[in-house]
Parts: sequence; C-alpha cells; structure tokens
Amino acid sequence: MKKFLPAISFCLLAGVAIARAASLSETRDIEERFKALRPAESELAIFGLDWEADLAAAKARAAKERRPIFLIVVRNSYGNMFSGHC
Amino acid sequence: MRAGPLSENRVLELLRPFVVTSWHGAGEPEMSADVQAIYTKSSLSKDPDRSNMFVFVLDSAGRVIHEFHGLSGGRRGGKGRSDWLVELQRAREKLKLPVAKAGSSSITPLASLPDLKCASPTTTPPAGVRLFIRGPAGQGTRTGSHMPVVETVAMDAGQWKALAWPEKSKDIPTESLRGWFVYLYPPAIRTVDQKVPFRPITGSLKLEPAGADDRFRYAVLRGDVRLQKDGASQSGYEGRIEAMLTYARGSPDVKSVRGVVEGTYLYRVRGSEPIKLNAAIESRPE
Repeated sequence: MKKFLPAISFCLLAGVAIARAASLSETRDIEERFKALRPAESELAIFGLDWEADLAAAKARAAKERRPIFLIVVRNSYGNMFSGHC
Repeated sequence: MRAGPLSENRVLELLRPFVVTSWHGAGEPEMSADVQAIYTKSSLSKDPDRSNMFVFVLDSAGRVIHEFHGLSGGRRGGKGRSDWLVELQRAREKLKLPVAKAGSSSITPLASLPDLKCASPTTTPPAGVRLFIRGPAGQGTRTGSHMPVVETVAMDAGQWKALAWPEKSKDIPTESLRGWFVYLYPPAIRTVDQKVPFRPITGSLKLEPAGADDRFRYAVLRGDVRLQKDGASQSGYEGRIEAMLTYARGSPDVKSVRGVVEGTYLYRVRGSEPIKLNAAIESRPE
C-alpha cells in the first residue's frame, strides 16, 4: 500500500488542480452555450415593430405622432403577443 | 400568428409605420370597452367562418379603416382566412401611406425588445434579468415553436444579495430565483394550462467560486430545478441551470449574469406531451 501512496497523492493533487482550472473554463463553456441559445437579431425582428401595451396607449401615441394603429385581437387565449407567451 | 405572418420580413416591413398593439382574452365579455366597441361593430365578428384572431387597422384619430381575419391563409386564402400581405397593402392604400420599399425603415432595429433600466447607469447590481425562451430548432411540435419568447424579471437588492460573491460553495434556495423560472412554459399552450401557476419550485442550486482574471471574479450557479403545477397530473418543467456570474474585484455585488436553462416541459392537457424548452438568461442592463 505504501508504495502506492505517492501515486495516489499525486492523482489527488492533480485532480484538485484540474478542478480549479476547469472552473474558469466552465465559465467560458457557459458563455458559449449562452451565445448559442440567445436568439440572433434576425430572429427578434418582431421587436423592430413599435409596440404599445394596449389600445388606449396606442391611440394616445398615434394621435400625438399622427400614425396609424395595427390592432390584433385574439379572443380565445390569454397571454401576450408582444412577449410571445400567447 | 407570431410564428406566422409576424415573423415574415415583408409583413414586418409593411407594418413599420404603425403603432402595434394586441388584446388577448376569453371572448367578448372580457374585452376592454374600446376593443369591444371595435370588435362588436365589425362584420368579422358576425362572419360564421371566423376563427378567433382578428386584425383592425385604425387611422391616427382611432377610426377603423380596414379589418381582416387574423388567421393567415397565404395566397390560397380560404374562408375565415386572409392574405396578410394583400390586406396590409389595402390598408396602406386607404391610409394613403407611400408604397413600401424593401429595406426602407426609419425605426431602430429591436427598439421594442423588452428591457430593464437601472436608476443610474453606474448602479450595481443590475436591474434584473432578461430571458429568451424557446424550443430547439426543428422540434416540430405545435407548442414547441422555435420563435423566441422574451420576458424580463426585475430584481431588488435583496434578491441579488442571495447571489453575492461566495467565498466557498454555498446552496441557493431555488424559490429565491422563482422569478427566473416561472416563465419556463412554451407559447401556444391552452389557457386552462397557462392560467395555473407553478407551485413552490424545488431542486438544488449551488453557487461556487470559479476563479478570477484581470477584470472580474467569477462564480458558477448550477443545479436542477423542478416546477410543478397543482397535482402530479398537471404540467410541469424539469431542467438544469448553469450560469456564470461576474463580480468586480473587491465587491460582493453581482455585476452580470449569463446562463442557460435546458429542460423539458411536460404538457399535460388532453394527454401528455414532452416539449423541449430552453432559456438564455442575461442580466440587464449590461
């Protein structure tokens, strides 16, 4: 058993060293996965439109800025067309 | 609709001059008075072939000048359906708007992307987080649209304090990050499912120091989360979060968060359908 102790100690120390080094590399891995999952600008084009929360707010803006209104009515679901949870 | 005509560039281009808004609910009795007045006067509301989606175009004085069925039928049309491109061109003509030229726009791209602001630009921690939620590309299920859902979650100082710099690994109560997880459900699910809130969130989260570089100290937040609606027979979500947090040297306050949640929403309405659902999380403002 004694003759294996140095080898075991080396492995444990190396393991600690690898674990520490892995921590920073893990943050980079998370960053990469975040970038892969976050939508590209082209996938968020709907947010290039000029949204208002409700018709009253849209009317106020439209009158002030002399612009037309585009109203979508969905009568069978709760949710939010703007956020996408609809 | 959002994954249909509202994701087509030509439709978006035609909509650029408009202030856009929507109303959702369960029928006329729930409509706000202004929406109800428009809807009940409309011929669409009396059309026996109507679906549940309608579009109204109003001028700047609030007068309805055009209307059409919201269910897209493309060029084939069909009862109770519309070709959005044709209808939008008609609306623009009635409004005497100039003919739209491809690529012409005075609106800043993504100007309305949901966001959070701090009271002061130098304030830390951030005002909250923004989530981009969607299924993987090509999932191909009715509710597993790849179109991203975007939600923001405001956070106060106390909530950020739970994520303060960890000198050593520490447990984070999953419920303390409830705001991050309650949006983990897919779009286009039935109202009967959407209206049921998640019960207390379970799982185990750990926040571990992950070293430092010239600019920041880093920590990793990771663990499993489980969300369940009332009763085991109802929908729920199971996933794993991994997030990278940064801290200024010499300060315990969180400076930024970037992370991912990957998991499955078990949709239990008229059967059981597992829907892959992931989220990218980022602190705002950055």
